[in-house]
Amino acid sequence: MIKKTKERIINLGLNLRKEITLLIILNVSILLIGITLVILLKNLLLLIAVFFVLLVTNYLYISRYQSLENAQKESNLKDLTNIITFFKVYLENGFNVYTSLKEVSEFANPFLHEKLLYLLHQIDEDKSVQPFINFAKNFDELIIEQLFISIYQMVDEGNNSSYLRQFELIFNKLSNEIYNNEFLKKEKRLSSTTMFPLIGSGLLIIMITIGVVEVIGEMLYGL
Amino acid sequence: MNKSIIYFVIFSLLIGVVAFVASNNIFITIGVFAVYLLYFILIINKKLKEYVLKCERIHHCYHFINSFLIALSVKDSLDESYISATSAANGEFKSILDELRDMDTIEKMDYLRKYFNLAIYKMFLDVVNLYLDQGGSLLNMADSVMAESTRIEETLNKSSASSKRIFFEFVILWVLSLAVLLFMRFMISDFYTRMLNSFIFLILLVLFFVLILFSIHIFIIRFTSIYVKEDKV
Repeated sequence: MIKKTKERIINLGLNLRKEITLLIILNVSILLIGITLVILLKNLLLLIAVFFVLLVTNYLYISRYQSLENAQKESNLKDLTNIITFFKVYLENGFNVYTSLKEVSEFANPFLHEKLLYLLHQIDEDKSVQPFINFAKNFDELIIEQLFISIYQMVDEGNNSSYLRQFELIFNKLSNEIYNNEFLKKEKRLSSTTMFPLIGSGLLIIMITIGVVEVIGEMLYGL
Repeated sequence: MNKSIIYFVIFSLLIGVVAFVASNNIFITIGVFAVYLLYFILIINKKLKEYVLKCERIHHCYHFINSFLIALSVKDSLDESYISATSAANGEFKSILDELRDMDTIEKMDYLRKYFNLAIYKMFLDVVNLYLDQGGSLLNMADSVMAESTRIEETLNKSSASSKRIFFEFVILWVLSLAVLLFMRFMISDFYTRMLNSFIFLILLVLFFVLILFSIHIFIIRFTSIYVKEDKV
């Protein structure tokens, strides 16, 4: 797990040493505050709370790398669809696949730019479908592989209109999927906020329970 | 005074009244009213304005791109296409266009890149430039740009309709929660007054109002998030 987290930090372009230092500072600060509270309030049970806070903080801190990685993957996928839109424009204007890929690499983000240049380099050396499949492996979505196979078919068979149509079909499917996912994601995130009023109602019940217990206690024992 | 500020004051007053009825404590009432009002005016107001502005820009951009491309493919004149694409402009977009009156069409279109700040507009400009440089069938070349801008517009429309529906659900659920609180306050009035003497009860009551504010904050953040790739101008 440590090795995987290390890899994630490096892949995200973060400074490993800085991240470790921050985590240590966070832990030491919580420990110091916890120990001070234990000494001031003279309650050893607080150590359990400190331990719990440490556990939760570390979990949240480390799990944010996964979220960052997912966000980066999503962003790369969205950038790829933009790039492919440009790519289509070049193809429709008579450029061949190789030149179009070269041209659109200029519009790509650093990650995609590097991968596209590597793809072009591989195409120079290997005329099979393999370079395209290797490029698609940078993405989790299987449809990207399909898309790049259809691009390869255009290389192999020339910018034949039927291959261009096939490519367009796959691309439209991918683009629609991305927008639909964005819509569903937002809807889901918004819907989940309706749990707050339920939590509020729960809080009201706790309030009443505590209030009733206190009033009854007061009535019975004059507390 | 800004119309939205009036709504915020009314809403904060309502929450303040509920806080007073529920707590019978003037400090809690003033605290709740002040925090809500400040939060709404300083944070929510700005966020909602930005959101509305961004939505308007996306709508304008979509209409501009589509009208311009169709007009250009028919008339083959940049100036006429620009006039045709901006003839129905209104609001902020119209005032921006009025400021650009002295520029030539290419300059105006380049300037609009800053206004729209969308990657799709940049792509549209590239296609138009490519068409002007090399010719060809404009509608074929711009097919992807038009499809992409339609997808953006459709997603935005779909998303804003569904967000409004969820907003009503959210409001109704909170109104019901507040109704339960007020119901308790009046139906078990004597008992409730005794409970108000409990410090923990008051703390939980304040926590209840903090929870409402926190949930509004989360809701607004999610409500105002729009996925559209921005231009790196």
